[in-house]
Amino acid sequence: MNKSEIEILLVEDNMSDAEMTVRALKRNNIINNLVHLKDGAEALDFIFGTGQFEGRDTRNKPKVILLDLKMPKVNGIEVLRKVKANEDTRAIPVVVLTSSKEDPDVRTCYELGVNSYIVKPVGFENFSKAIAEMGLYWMLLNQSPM
Amino acid sequence: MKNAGVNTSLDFRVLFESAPGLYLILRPDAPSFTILGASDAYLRATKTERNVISGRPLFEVFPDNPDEKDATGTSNLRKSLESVLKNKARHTMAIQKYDIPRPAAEGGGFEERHWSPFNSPVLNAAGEVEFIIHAVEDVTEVALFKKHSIEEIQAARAELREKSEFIQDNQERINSILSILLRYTVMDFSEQVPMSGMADELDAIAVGLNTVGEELETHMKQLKESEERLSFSNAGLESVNKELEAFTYSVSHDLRAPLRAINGYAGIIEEEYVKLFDEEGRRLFSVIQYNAKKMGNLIDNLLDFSRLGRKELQKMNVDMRELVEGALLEIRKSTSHHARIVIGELGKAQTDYGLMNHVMVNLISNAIKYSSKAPEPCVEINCTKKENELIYSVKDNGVGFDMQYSNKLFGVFQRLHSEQDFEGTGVGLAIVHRVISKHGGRVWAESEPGKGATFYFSLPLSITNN
Repeated sequence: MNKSEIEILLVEDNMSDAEMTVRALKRNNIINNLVHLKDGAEALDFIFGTGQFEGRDTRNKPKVILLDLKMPKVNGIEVLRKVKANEDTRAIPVVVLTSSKEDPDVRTCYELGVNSYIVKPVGFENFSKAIAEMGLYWMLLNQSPM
Repeated sequence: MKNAGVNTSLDFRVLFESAPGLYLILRPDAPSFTILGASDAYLRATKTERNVISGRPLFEVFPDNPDEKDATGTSNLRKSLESVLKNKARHTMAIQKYDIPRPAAEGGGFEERHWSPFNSPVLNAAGEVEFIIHAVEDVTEVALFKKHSIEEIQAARAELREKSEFIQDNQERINSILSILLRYTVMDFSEQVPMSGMADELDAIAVGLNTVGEELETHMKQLKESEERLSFSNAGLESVNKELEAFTYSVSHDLRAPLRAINGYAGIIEEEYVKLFDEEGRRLFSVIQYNAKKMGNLIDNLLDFSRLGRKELQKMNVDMRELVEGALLEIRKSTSHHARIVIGELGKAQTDYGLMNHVMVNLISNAIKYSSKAPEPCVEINCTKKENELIYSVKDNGVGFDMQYSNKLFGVFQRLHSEQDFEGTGVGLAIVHRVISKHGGRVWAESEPGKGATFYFSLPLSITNN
């Protein structure tokens, strides 16, 4: 496995959630190379090699995008829409992470072609477990078409 | 004649004069027709006396009423009598108007009389007319009645003509009244009937209609205002509902994030640093964790309560025993208990499977929880069929409660036991109440402290039966 290859793109504005997510993945030895971005605008620049990521080799695609929905500037729905609308990026698996199953955006996410939808558990153990299982599935079991 | 006894006792004069009919005996001495005799009835009807008329010519006694120029009574009678003389046969006359002189004592003048007379000859052995019997029936009442009827009909015709002329003359005014009435039928009271100033019946109707119209218009306006106020408050209610939904979402979303961080970082400390704490430090730390977990449960229960309240019922025919067994499995996953569970005949009910499952899980886990300190905990689930409803019951032999607090049982966050004795958030029974109310049923409980509790709910049979 090429060390420079991006394995996970985490788009999350909540630093606590981000830290716990990263920790849960690392403690289960699932990732070596994770990029954490703090809002949807940065995520789009990264994915499409624009703005502050001008010139990035966009052929280096993440194996999975973990996407929070409620974010400043550009929200998760918008990121999901653009990723799934583009020929080059459509095949990247996108896992939406949200705080609540009450979220009215669940339906929109599925209509836009989200690959998975995870409600972040409040309990620490459950949270770690959910993140680890998700990471395991998308990184190791899922055969990416790329 | 042959019977002397009979002959001598019969006085024909008295018999004739007492006969009930009106008879006059005349001599055939035209043109006088001298009166020879009369029945008492005739005298009474004609207001004459026998001694006054006897031996006098008929037409001298009964002349025509000089006030009536068209009177034909005497000439008709004369013609009839002459016909009898000529033909020696009975002659019936048309009904005659033949007024009789009223005696001076009764005011004089003439009294209107109508007669149906006929004249009949009495012939002698030679076949000549010896006498003429003039018989009369007094038909004054019939004639007068007929006359009055005719007068009434004529009056009615005249009135009708007058009315129809009135209608023709006032067609425009009547039309305007009708068109206003027509508007009234579609609740349009905006126009008034114009007044003619003639102060007649139509103007009276117009005044009445205008008053009623004004009155109704006022009422309609008030009604409309009330409706507007009502729809305004409905809109208010709707927006409150929307706010409530937004609030629910925000509670679930925004309260969860910091709670997740508290739990998460506490978890990291527990994993990596708790070995550095002394015993008191570990106790204090576990209190934090316990309360964070409890807050999570509260938020989840509150969300359940709100979501179940908004959820539409999706009723189906549910085997209640199967549902209860499923609920028991679900309970066993999260709670280990050693209660004996007795399930009676539960039948089938028309209910929403998911919501009813919530109800049973709540009631049965309550029963298990509150009987957990009994020496031999036992929970019984039963059903009785009443005339209009099915009544389900969940009974335990646990701590029970004081019935004076039973009104608090089904309120949100209401608890009858301390957190130390029995854990709980106080939302479960509120959910039960909400779900059963949605089914059109009732929830209640019976208990005594220390003697266990029984919770009941009813499902109306109209919806439990297919």
